[in-house]
Amino acid sequence: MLTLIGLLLSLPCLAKEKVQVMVSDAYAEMHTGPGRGFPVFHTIEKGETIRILKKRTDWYKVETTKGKKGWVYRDEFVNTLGLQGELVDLSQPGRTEFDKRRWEIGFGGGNFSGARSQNIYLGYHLTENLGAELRYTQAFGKFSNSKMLALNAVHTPFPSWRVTPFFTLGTGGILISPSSDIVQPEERENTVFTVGGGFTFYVSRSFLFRIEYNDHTLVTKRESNEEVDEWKAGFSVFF
Amino acid sequence: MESRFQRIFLITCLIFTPLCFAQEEQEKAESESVLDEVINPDLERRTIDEERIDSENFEFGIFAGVMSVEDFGTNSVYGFRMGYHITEDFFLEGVYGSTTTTPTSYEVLSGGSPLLTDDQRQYDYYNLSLGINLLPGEVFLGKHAFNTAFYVIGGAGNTVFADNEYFTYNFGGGLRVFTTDWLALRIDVRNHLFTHNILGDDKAIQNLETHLGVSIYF
Repeated sequence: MLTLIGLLLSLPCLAKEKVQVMVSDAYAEMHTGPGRGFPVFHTIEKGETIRILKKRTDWYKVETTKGKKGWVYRDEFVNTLGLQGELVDLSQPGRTEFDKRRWEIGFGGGNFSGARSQNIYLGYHLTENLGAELRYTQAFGKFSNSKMLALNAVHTPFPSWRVTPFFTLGTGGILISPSSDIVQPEERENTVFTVGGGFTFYVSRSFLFRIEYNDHTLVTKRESNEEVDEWKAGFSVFF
Repeated sequence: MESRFQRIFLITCLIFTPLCFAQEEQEKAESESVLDEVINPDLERRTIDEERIDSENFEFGIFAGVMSVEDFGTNSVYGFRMGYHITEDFFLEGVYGSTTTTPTSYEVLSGGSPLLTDDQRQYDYYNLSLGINLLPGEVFLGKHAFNTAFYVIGGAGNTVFADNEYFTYNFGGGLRVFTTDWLALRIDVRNHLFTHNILGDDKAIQNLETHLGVSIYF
């Protein structure tokens, strides 16, 4: 635990080189904090050189040559140039970034064969069409609770559509534990194969909305395998 | 006869002139590209983008406080949280917390056999919530000003208690006080709701928690 905290504390020290830019809008407002509600305490004039120290969400912490530090909103940098005339691209993530997205993290809820379920996943896009997803699902039923961890391959045939269909194929494990008030509670673990599909809706900036259907086949030692269908909807952020 | 010579001459001119011009243009283009190389050396124009700026959208924190588990007493709670700030208004947060509950009043008064074993009294929860920052502002301490923000938060998760797991909703709110850009103190009040049948019938319970925490942004 302590080493983890130590590691995390050292992270802010690994700062990248500071970027210097020149303000080319008429002026830029400096807030005391990274939000539009924090008061404006200084304005940077046109032609002034500033250093960008770091950013949080859509706000950049900058330092003027006179040493004043404050937070400036992303939109104020639209026409800004670097000192050597470099183009400054600090635009909001949009559709292009969505098409080029690499990492995706999301959570959602749904119906796991009648039980309430919640899930969290981490996705990585290898190409525009192909990706991988690690998903943890937990379902709370009347008679049993389930936990499932599955690795899926995701195929997106038409990545450029506004509402993008996708198909998944994967495998993992499921742990089913009956509620303790039932006699003879016995946990069981099964291998599970998953096929599914759904739609991704690009909302705006770096947000996605997903709806998905999955058909899980639980491999059992009995004569027939068990099938579980799952409907879910969720919200994701990409970066 | 004269007009015929004239025509042939003119046609020849017509055919060859464009060729001459073309040759001239080609020479001109060549000399221009040579000039261009001399005047504009092959400079690599780098663009400045997000990649070159250190971003601090993640938050990690630890906390300690008190938690009241309905029927099972009010006890100290400890935990940690991990957050991601999506915009200045919205953030996602995952929390893991743990408390040890105490016997119900009935168990104490009746003096009978305890309802739960010691292991079963351990109460652990984790959840994922969406928070909204409200009322940003500043507080003043002497001549120092600190940024603050209230937030409301709600989500769902899991509670492990008495050898069972329960789907648990949570909602609440809190206050964040930034001592520096990357360090914040947090006061959080949360209600955890779920239904259990440990005492016989199904019972929907509300478990209130208040804690103080410290978070770093990275």
